[in-house]
Amino acid sequence: MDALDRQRFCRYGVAVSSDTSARSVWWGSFTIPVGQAGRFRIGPLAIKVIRLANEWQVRREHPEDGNERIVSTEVPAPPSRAPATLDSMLLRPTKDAPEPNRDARETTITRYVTASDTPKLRILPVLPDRTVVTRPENPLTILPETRVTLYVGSPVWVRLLQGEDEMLGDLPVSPPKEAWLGPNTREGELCYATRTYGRLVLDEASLAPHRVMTAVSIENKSEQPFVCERVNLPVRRLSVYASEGGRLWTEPVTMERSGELARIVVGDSPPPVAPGAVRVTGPRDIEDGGMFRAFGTLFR
Amino acid sequence: MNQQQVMRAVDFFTTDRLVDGVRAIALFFITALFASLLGRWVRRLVALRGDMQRALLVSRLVTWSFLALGLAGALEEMGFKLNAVLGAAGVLTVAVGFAAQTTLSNLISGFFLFGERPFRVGDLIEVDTLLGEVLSVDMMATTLRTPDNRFVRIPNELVLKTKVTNHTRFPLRRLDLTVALGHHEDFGAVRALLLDVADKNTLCLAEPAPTVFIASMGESSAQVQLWLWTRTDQLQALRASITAEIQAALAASKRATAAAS
Repeated sequence: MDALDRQRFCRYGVAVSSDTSARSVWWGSFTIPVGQAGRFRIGPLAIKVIRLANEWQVRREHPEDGNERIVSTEVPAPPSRAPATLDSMLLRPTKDAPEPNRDARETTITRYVTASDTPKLRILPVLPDRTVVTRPENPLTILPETRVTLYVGSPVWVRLLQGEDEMLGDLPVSPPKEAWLGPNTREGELCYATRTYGRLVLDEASLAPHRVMTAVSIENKSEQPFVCERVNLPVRRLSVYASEGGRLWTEPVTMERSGELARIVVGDSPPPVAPGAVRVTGPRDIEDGGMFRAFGTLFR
Repeated sequence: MNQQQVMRAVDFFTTDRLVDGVRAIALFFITALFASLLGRWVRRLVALRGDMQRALLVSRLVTWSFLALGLAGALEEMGFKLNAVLGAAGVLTVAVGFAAQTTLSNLISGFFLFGERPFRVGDLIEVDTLLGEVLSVDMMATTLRTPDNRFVRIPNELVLKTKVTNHTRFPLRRLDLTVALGHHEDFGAVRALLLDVADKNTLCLAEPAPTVFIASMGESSAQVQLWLWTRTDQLQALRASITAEIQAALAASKRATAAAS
């Protein structure tokens, strides 16, 4: 991604990248004429996007290799051995193939019908539409008057747009687990759950192409130590930034605990560990300034 | 028509009675218009809180109350003595009340159901032993659609008297499953297997966390209880998927044990 690409901002505060040569970059703008397809591999997600007349067809495949670090984009995708027919696209048995193969049957197909004839497809990384509850493998005890920075990974969603900004849909890279965040099973909200090692030092192993990292600084301003069993990250307020190597980041988040209240402050630039990162997508919700919340809604 | 009759008619239309009649009609229609407008406004106001059924009931009550007031005012204007009318109405009400005890009981029960709101349209409820989705809560009866697509009308009096279980009141439901464990089997291994299956199933919530424990000890086996939480609308999907996954995991575990030994 060159400097000009980084500067090309358009609607939704999105930077368009047409350079997919970098190893981990899978987003950008692609041209897929009618009758052709593009194949994208983003960690555990493999999708084939086929442009048909008045239709975008998205086939979600289930790769067997289990490799979560593979990133590839093939546009146009290599042609299939057999010509595509309506039966083969809908996975109906035919005379030549009475039983579709097992992999094909596991493919999930989503069809987006459109009046537009644009061949332009944009793929962007976006953050989940709900709060992400991150639970460290082992609880962390944060001593009084101590500040610690945790690196927390959130699952990424793939946003498909036709033309410049007409949305087709969002796909989670890996189906997320849901969790209930609330004082009891009657009141609360649904969130997405994820696990982290609670890394205090950033290393390459913690970065993956399908996760968006957030540097969460937790400051215990109270006089008592507190045990941090989980962190609830309001990702709807966060943007996605891409660093030089295609790693995804959000703004740094600071959570201050003082008594029964916790204050959360979202930064307005990429984290210091990714100084040259460029904003790729903006937040779903826009709120200014710090936000006070009950302690239990951010940590436990 | 002879002259005398004509004179009598002219007298009638020029006396105060005609003026009173016109005033009574005007009063009634103005009140009716006001009642209708007020009813619509109240319905919109209550519907803003997302409860259409209550909005309809409240707006009807408001409209009919104002119409009754308008009618009473109009009758007063026309010279009727309302005390006598209300007295007669009281006697009539007692007579009708005796004759229609069941109807009135259902009607009053309907009011209590509207006030108490133990369920709403669309909820899955169990009235005594009858399970069904609530189609409507009317003044006289509650109607349900059973899972095998039958229509059931239950008088409101019966609903109020009977135990009612609302299966969809809260956003989450717990699914309880029991697995038999032989005394020679390792509870720790089965527990780990069940929790792993629950972790891989995306319909099962991560929090509240799944729970596995021995519920009872029999002579030849123990009953292992698995508690899983899910969204209320996904309970059946979780039940269908997780039982098959547990069965497959247990079978695979037994095959692996047999191959190792």
